[in-house]
Amino acid sequence: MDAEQLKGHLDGLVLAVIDGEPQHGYAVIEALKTRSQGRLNLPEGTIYPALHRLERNGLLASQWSVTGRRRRVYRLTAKGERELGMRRAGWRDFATTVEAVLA
Amino acid sequence: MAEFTDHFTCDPDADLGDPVALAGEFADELGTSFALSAALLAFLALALAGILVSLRLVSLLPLRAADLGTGDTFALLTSAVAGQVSLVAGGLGLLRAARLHGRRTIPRREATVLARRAGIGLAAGAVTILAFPAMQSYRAPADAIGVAGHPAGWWWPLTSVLGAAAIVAASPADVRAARLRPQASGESGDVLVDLGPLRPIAAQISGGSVNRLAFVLGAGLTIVISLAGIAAHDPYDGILRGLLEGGAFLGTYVILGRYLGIRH
Repeated sequence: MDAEQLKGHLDGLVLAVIDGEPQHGYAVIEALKTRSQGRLNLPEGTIYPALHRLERNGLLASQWSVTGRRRRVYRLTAKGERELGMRRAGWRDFATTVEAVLA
Repeated sequence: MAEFTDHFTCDPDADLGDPVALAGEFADELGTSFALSAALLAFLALALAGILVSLRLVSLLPLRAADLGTGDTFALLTSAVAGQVSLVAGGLGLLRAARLHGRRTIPRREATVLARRAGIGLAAGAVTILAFPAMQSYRAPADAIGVAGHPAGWWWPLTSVLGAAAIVAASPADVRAARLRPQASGESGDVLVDLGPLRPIAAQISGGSVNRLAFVLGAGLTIVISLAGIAAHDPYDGILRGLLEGGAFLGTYVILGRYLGIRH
C-alpha cells in the first residue's frame, strides 16, 4: 500500500491496535502487519515518531515495564479513547460515502 | 535509546530509516523545543523584572520633575521606552509560543521569530533594569516612598540584582534557541495570527492590515494619554506625553516590526 495513502490515518491505526491492550513499539508494528494481513508493513522510523507524538498530545500514556527487559509500553488515555471513537465514526462515514459513489 | 535497544532485541534487522533524515528530524524537534522554552523563560524573567521595576517606579512617585536632573530624566525615559519594548516583545513571544505549543516541529521562520522576541525582550529588560542605577535619585531622596516603614533605598539595589539575575538566567535558553533552529520550511504569521481569538476584532479595525492596526493603536495611545492629562488639569503635559508615547510606539514598530515578526 502506498505510504501516501496512509497520511492522516496513521494516528487512528496506532490508537486502534493499542486499544484494549497496552503495547510496546515492536508489538504495535507487528499488530499492524498482522491485522492488515501483511498489507501494512510500516518502518520503525514511522511508528515511533507517531507514538511519541500521540503521547505528547495526551492520547497515549507510556510507562517503563518494571519486570524483565526495560521496555516502554503504551496505553490509551481517556482522551485517546474518545479520539479513537471519533476517528472510527469518521472513517465509517467516509467509507460509506466513497463506497456509495464508487460502486 | 532504551526504547530502540529493546526494539533491536526483538528485531535485529529493524530498519529505523535513513540516519541523516532521522538526525535531521531529531534536530528539528530539539530546535523547536529550544525556541518554545526560550520564549517562555524570557517572559517569566521579564515578568519578575517588571514587577520589581514597577515597585521602584511607585517609590519614585513623590518626585517632581523639578527634582530630576538631566541624567535622571534621560534614565527614566530610557527605562520607560525599554520597559515597554520588553513588555511587548516578551508578551508577543509568549503568545506565539502558546499558539505553537504541542507541535512536534515548527518552521525555521517561526523559531527565528521566537528567538528574536525573547532576545529583544531580555535586552530591553536589561536596559530598563540598568537605567535606574544611572539615576542620581537612586541614592534615596528623602521624600521617596519606603516599604513597610523602612526608608526607600535599602531594597533598591536588591531589585536591580534580582531583576538582572532573572534576565541573565533566562538568556542561555535564548542563545541555545538561536544556535539550533529547525530546518523545516514554512511561513511565520504576523501579529494578527498571534492575537488568536481577538483576531476578528483586530481585522475589523485594521481591515487586515498590520500597518493600519499599528497606526490605530498608536493614535489611540496618544488620545488616551492626552485625555488623562486633560482630566488631571494638566493638558499640555498630557498632550505632550501622549504624542511622545504614540510616537515612540510607532517608531519602535517601524524599527523592530519586521525583525520581531510583527509585520512582513
